[in-house]
Amino acid sequence: MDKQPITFTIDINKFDLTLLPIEPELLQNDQALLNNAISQYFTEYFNRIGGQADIVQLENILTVTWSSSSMDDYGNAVREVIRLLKQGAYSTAEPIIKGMLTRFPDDPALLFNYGMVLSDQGLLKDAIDMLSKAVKSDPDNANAWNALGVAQSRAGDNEKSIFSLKKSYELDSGNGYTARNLGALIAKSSAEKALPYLKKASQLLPEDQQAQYGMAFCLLQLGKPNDADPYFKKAIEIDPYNDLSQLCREERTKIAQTSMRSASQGDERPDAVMYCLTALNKFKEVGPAQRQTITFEIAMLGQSGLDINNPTKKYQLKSMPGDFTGMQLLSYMYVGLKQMEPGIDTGIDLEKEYRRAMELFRDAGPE
Amino acid sequence: MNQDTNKLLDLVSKKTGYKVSIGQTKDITSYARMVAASQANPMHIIDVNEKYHKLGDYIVAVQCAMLLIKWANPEKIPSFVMRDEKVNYLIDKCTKFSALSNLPGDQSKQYARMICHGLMHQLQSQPMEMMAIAYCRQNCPGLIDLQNETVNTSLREATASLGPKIQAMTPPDIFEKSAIMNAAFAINWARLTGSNIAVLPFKSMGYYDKGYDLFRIFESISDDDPDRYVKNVEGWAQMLQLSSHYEWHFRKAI
Repeated sequence: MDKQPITFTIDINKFDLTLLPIEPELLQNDQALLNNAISQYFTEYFNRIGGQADIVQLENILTVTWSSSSMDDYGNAVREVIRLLKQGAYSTAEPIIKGMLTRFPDDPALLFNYGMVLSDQGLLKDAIDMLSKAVKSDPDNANAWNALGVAQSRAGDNEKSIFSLKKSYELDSGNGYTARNLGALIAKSSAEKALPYLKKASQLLPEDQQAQYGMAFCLLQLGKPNDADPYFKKAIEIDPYNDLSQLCREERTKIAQTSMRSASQGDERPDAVMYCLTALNKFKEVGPAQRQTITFEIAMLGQSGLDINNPTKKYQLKSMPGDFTGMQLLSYMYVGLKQMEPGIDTGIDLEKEYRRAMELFRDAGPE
Repeated sequence: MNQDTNKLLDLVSKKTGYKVSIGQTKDITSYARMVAASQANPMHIIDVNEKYHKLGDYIVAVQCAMLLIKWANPEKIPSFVMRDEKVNYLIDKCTKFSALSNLPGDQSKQYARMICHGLMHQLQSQPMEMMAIAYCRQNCPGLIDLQNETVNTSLREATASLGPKIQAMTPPDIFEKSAIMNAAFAINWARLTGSNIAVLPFKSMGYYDKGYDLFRIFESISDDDPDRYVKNVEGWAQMLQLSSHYEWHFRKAI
């Protein structure tokens, strides 16, 4: 074991105060307490690690010189600094890592963990440099190849990224994130080639929204909307309130419309006409307030997509008794929205059916 | 759920004869709300503050530890009850404190009530919390990381109360008593973890020595003493001159 000391300096003002069990405002208003607390933090930090640490403070700069007594000490030091990174205390961990890398420039654990942090911070050139050294130092580390691939992808170098991610996949094909990242990149040029990776990712990561969306989008590109739909649905269920879910909902609406139109070969759907007519009569009966309640309830229910090509009456509403099919509810919602704001773009193509229903409604005359 | 938490839930069930129901709530500011079982309410209820759901396993474990401590003698389960006439006198005194007496309407009274009730709550809860923390440190190795995070958050809150704004709005007597109890809490944590960082603010503001006196009372009572919670509160109350402000009500478990 090389016993030459490791030296690093820390600017007290850049220390991550959330590492301390003291209210940050109290520390910021009392420089002596702040200095004392940070000095104590590092004394305890190096006591946990072992070896010998000398801590010198000059104004706001803390200089630490640490010598390990054994390999165990060095292992402890690596573990502790990685723990700091995982706590998100980058500004505190960074000078320590830099100091350690000066003495041990090929340490794969340091290179890998530091590289990942740099990549997350968007410092991609430095990240790629660190992670390239990490895979050179430990060529069988699938996670390091994966992290390198992600950093290269973030930097826009898709060719190198695909190479790195393929290398990671060869080493560990059971890592769903590698499969997901690789599939997403390959899909940019070939959905067909991407499909096996994205399929694997969706199986390995059933609760990962990106993985489900990636698979859905790939199937859509391959012209298989009906196969894609369950994956979009799953992606919405995982996190219903984010932007990706909104995108999934829009795709599901398009899929439903396409399949609805193809089922009716582009003509009016008589069932939808009848549902629209029933809705017109119902809304006339219950009045505008109840119409709004029913329409909004259907809209809420439909946030995860309504199954409009299934004739089963599987939906219920609080605002209107009975069991309904997806198409029935969609028609009610369409009519409700059109009556509330005639110019609205509902995102649903039931215009023909609505017009026909309006004609029938008028022909029936006032009750 | 963490296996140490499950272990404590089982232990509570065996020791007290009542199971524990766990839920979540938004309606509290503390980590959790606990209602101990009684004949009328045949289940202990622990509601974890939703804000701290990530710490839930530890929060439930520490509440279980509190139940075990409180039910150490099932013939004599203690309840801390404030004596209204004494506490109201304290509130009236507090209301006359210059920084509060200038507040409009009955705000001074409301604020005084809040800090006096807070002080009494601290007297009855902090020794119990310290015992439960020590218990979990010893018996729940799988919860150490969550405990570190939870207690460090508590310590940040405790040290926040040392800030100049709070000091200016609090009568010195109340402020000091509260700070001393918090110092004891920090000293206990320092003893358990070997980290002295949390005691530094109390040292620098001069509350460490009196806090240490409270800690010595805490330390001097054996873990095996079934009355240790009551003895601890009484010891602290005597030192803080709050003995006449509360009384104990005892009940049998069944």
